[in-house]
Order: sequence, then structure tokens, then C-alpha cells
Amino acid sequence: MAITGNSGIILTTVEEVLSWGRRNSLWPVSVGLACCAIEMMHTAASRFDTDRLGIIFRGSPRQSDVLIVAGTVVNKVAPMLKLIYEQMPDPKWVISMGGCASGGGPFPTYSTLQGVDRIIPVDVYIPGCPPTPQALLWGIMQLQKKIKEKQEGKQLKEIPIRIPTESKPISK
Amino acid sequence: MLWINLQKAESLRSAFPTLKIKEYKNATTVEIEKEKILDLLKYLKENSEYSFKMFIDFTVVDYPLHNPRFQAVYILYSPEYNERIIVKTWTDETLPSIVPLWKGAKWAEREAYDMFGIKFEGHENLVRMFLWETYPYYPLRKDFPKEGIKDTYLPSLNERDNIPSHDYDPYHTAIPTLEDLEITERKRIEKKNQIVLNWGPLHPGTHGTIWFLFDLEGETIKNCDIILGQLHRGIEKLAEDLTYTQIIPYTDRMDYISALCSNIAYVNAVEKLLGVEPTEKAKWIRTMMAELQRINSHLLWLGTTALDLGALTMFLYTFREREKLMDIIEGIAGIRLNSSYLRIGGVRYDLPEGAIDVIKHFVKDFPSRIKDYEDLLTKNRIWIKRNKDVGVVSKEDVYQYGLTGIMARSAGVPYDIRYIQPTDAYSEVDFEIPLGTVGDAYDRYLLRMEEMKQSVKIIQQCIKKLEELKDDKYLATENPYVLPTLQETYLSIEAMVKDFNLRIYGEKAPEGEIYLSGENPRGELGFYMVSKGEGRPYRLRIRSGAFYNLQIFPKLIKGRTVADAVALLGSIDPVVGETDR
Repeated sequence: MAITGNSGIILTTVEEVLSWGRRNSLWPVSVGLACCAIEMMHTAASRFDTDRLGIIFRGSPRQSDVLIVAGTVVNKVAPMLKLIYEQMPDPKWVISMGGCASGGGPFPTYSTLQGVDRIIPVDVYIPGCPPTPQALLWGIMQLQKKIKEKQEGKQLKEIPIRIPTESKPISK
Repeated sequence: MLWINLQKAESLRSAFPTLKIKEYKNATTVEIEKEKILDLLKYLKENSEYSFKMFIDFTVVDYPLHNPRFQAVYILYSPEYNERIIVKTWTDETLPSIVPLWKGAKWAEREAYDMFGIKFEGHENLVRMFLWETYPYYPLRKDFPKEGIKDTYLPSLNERDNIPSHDYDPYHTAIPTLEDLEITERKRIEKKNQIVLNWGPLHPGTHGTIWFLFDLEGETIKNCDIILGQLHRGIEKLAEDLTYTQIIPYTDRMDYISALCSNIAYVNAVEKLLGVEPTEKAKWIRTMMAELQRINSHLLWLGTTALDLGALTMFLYTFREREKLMDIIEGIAGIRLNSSYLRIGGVRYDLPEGAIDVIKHFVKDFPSRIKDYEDLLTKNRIWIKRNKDVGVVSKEDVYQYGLTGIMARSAGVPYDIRYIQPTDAYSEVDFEIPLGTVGDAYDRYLLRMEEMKQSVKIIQQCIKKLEELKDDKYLATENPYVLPTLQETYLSIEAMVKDFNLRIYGEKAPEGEIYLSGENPRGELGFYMVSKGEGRPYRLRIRSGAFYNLQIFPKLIKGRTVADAVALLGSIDPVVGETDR
């Protein structure tokens, strides 16, 4: 953005304005899965107060643009979580919060999805079990940075999305 | 202790001559053949000499080399004589359903069918409890691998140049399709009225990922069923592969709102099994931490339930206090939420300098905060209208469904594990157990508020005692089963060898069984453990209070509206991590 003199005129591009608006009003879907959801509630509540970053939790995926996957994604809930992701309008981002969502965490079992990136593409991974509210805020700021840098053209290394091939059983 | 004595058990032989009675150090079991199991359970329930009216738990243990293969385990409690009994039987495929005797067995039998594939004759609707209907395996059987059958190609959608980790496997266990889930849903409930409404699983009001099905006529709920398993992580299966100390972090993640209470219930059970006695100071620290956690848990309940009923202010207020408590717990245990603070034989760290002062300040300040909450809610017209006469629980329901915790006490049943089977320092502290009169949601609100006040009272006594015990040991490291502290490990070779052995081979527990429970904010959290003399438990069954408390939900909601479902669910206060495990 460029400010010209004291005349009150700001010169900018449409993309810049859009990106500025998007990154400062990230509205997540209020979906909580497990322990991390408690820390997500703490982040939204009185002490850490995400409202000051323009983050307001919405009840409907149609009104949101960030999906914070907070907690263990088990196989049974995976298709429903994917459905919620698909219902969100573009542009949309996904934050994978905590060890379980990022890679299965301490549950390498028959019923747990080993990383939410196997069903939906992820933008920011936050480590921790569960991550503290500070860590979640850090993750959100990373996402803001990512949106900003994408607009400025000096992209972080873009992660291409791969369409998975059809499933085939392992030969034993 | 809380178990039926041998003499009384022997007198059962007059009616059932084939009975096999076995007394362990911490459990008394009777075993009978499958054909007579229903008669025996009925006799135990209805004979006034025994009157085992209350259903505690039902589970199955798999012995692949034994014929018949599965051992069914029923745990019962007699409120009149304050005794427990374990009844066992063997089966290969089928068992008679005990739902006519105790309605609370309905879900437990579904779970046994889901996990072991045992069919129950006479069960009204035997479907899978946690997994979906088209899932082909029975995961808790011993021959099923812990990590499942990886037969689906499911790589990461974020393509990376390097492999994400050394054991990253692009093949994954099968994920259900939406059609699979629809079949699961159809099998649960039959549409008889206008519409079947889905509430959840990913809905902010369901306190996690519970999936409710309401069969609606207008706005009235005519029929209801609940699908669980949206957070079934297989902790019971995992535990069979871990040493007793390694399971402690998993107990945190079960009931994540009251992690310390779950730790305490589990560690106490293991200590009884191993015969370890924690130090005096550790007992008092545990009691204090459990009560801090109880306040923490009830605050979260108050905030979220009030939020569900439209009172956003309460949410912000209670979370302010919760942050203070979280800071105290972080200062003592090192982690905010899932603290894993306990160790077999004591606690992880000693109380840091100044911890007592901070807690003292909190305890002094907190009663005035409770008063604020009560001013806002207790006589609030909306709060009363939403909560009064919603979900009235009777004494008979408590015994039938195995309700524990606040649910039991709201119906006037004085069932509190802290009182009937005190562990740690609970036998030495002075506190009262509030009881309800009506048994509705409003009663449960009043009880939780009163319990917070009682917790403050207990904490005050603990502070007093801990100031006296300032220089005591916090970990009974002289015991062969207790891990040495880090400092000891670095300074002496014996401690290092002991540390190595315990971490690699685990605590070799003597052969036997134990059932021991603790009073969680959500009800009785019990651990039934079978040890074969190895460093790992042969079977760990978690008796979750929230699981049995939630089971009464369909009965209580029938004939009421959807708006009441929110208030009722709030007052039952389940945590999905614990119900699904």
C-alpha cells in the first residue's frame, strides 16, 4: 500500500485489499473433536480473546473460511469432517491443531486417522498435545502470514494438492 | 474393603452348587456355567440377603487358547450392604442378554458385540456401539492387530519432497463412506413419525462428537437413540501393549476435562494391584489436586451449559477462573490440560516453592466468585424455566442404569466413591456430600455448585496438612515398583538399573484381578485389570461414568422437545473422550 502525501488517499491493488480483509477476519467453524477443543475454547474465551484478531467462531460452515481441526480424527468421523470442509466456500484454509490431527499422535490404532492431511489439505500444522492457546494463536498468525505472502507473490513453497489414486489392497 | 466376604459368597452354594468362588486381594469373583448365569444374577439382585441391585459394569476378556474362548465379567454393587461382587461365565459365541434385569446393560452388551463379536440372545437392538455397521472385524480380540488392517491407499494430500517420517505408511485402515454411516444410522432407529432429526456429531451443542437421532412428531421427541464412537481411539486395545506407567498419559486423554482425577483413579488401582503404598505427602497432594481439578471441571460444565442455554456471560466468567486454575496446575505439574502428574508410588514433582501461597489465594478468592455465579443463575427466571423438571431421575433408575456421580446423587442416592471407598487422604478430610431431592437438571446444577464449595473446604484442609509435611518425600522410591527420580538415576547405578528395567520390561504385577474406582466429576471411573504376571496388563477395562450416565438420555428425553435435549445433555455432562475411550 502507498499513502500519497497528507491528502488521505491510499493507493493499492484489489488483491491487496482482499488479502488484507481476509487475513484479518478469519472466521473458523466451531467444530471441536477432543482435548484440543478445550484449549481452542480457552483461546476464544476471556484471557486470550481471539476477537481482537478478528476471529469469531461461527456455527455454520457456510459462513466460515478456516477449519481448525482440534483433536483426534477417528475413521468414523473423517467422512463427516470432510463434508464440513467441502461445505465451506472458497477461499478456505485448514489448521491442524495438535499431534493427533497432524499425524495420529499417541493413538496408532485401528480406529484413528493417522493425520488429517490424508483426507483434507492442511495449511498450518501446530505441534503440541494439546497445544497451548499461545501455540494456537501462533498458528493463526502463521496462517495470516501465509495469506499475506501469497498475495505479495513471494510465496512460501506452495504445497501442491495431489488427487489420490484409487485404493488397492496390499498383497500379503 | 468393599468386596463380599468369602463366607457370604460360600452361602450362595446352597442354591448354586456348581459355583466356583475365588478371592483375590482386591476382588471376590464367583464363576458359573453359562446356562445358569441369568438365574444367578436374578438371585443376587432379588434375594434380600445379597440385594446386588446396582449394575456397575459388564465386560468380556478374550482368552484365545481357552475353550470356550470368552470370559464374561459382570460387576455388581449392593447399596444396602455396601459390597461389590464379580460374576463370571465362559462362552464361545452367545450369551443371554441381561437387559430385562438391568436396563443399563444395553450399551455394555452392544459394546461387547462390537469389540468381541459376542451375540446376545434377547437383546432388543444389537448393533455396533462404536464402529460402523459394515466394519468387518472385532478389534478387541487378541488376534486382531493393534494398528488394524491397513488395506486402503490413503496418502497425504500435501505432497512433500521428503518422506514425512521414517514410519510413514501411505496405506491406511479403511475409512467408512457416507453410505456406511447411513446404514449405521438406519439400523439404530426406525422412522415411525414425521421426521428423523440428526443432532451432531459435529455440532457445537453436543459437548463433543455425540450423534443423536430424534424421531420427531412436530417438535416432540417420540423416540431417540445415540450413536457413539466418533472419538473411539482404542485406548483399551493400546493399553494391552503398554507398561503400567505408560498408560498414565492415556488416562489423561480419556476424560480431558478432569485429567488429574482420571490419573488418580488409575494409579490407585495399579498401586493396589502391585501392593505399592504412596508416601503420606503424595496422598495429600493428590487429594488437593483432585479437588482443584474437580472445581476446574465443574466450572467448564457451568460455562458451557450456560452458553448452550443462552448465557454467554457465564462462559466468559467461568473461563476466567479456569485460567487461574490452569495456571496453578501448570505451575505444579508442568502441563496445562493433560498433565500426567501422577506416578506409581507418588507424584511426578514435588510442590514448587510458592505453590501453596497461590492456591491459598485462589481458595480465599473463589467463594466470592461462586456467589457471583449463583447471583446470576440460581434465581434467574430463564435458567429456572429451562432446567426445572427436565430429566427427572428416580432411585430405581440409578440402580437400573448404573448411574453414578452427580446423576445418582441428584436422585438422593448417597453414592460417592470418596465416601464409600476412600482412597488417598479422603478418609482423613472432612467434607459433606450434597444430595438432591427432585432429581431434575436444576437439582444437578445446585449440587455441582455445592460440590465446588465442598472442594474448597477439602483444599483448605489439604493446604494445612501439606504445610506440616513440607519436607517429606513425594515419591516412595524405595519400593521396587516405583521409578526413581531423575536425580537418583543420574547419581546412583542401582537407581539407573532399576529405571532401565522398569521402563523396558514394565512393572511385573502379580497374577490377579482388580476392580477399583475413583470419583470423577462425571461419575464412577473404574478400572478392571487382569494381570498375568507380565509387565503389561492382559486386559484393561475402563468403566466410564459418562458412558452409563448418558445411557439414560433416550429415556428421559421421550415426550419432550428438542430445546430440552440441550438442557438435559448439559446436566448429564458427558465427555466423549471417556464415553468412547
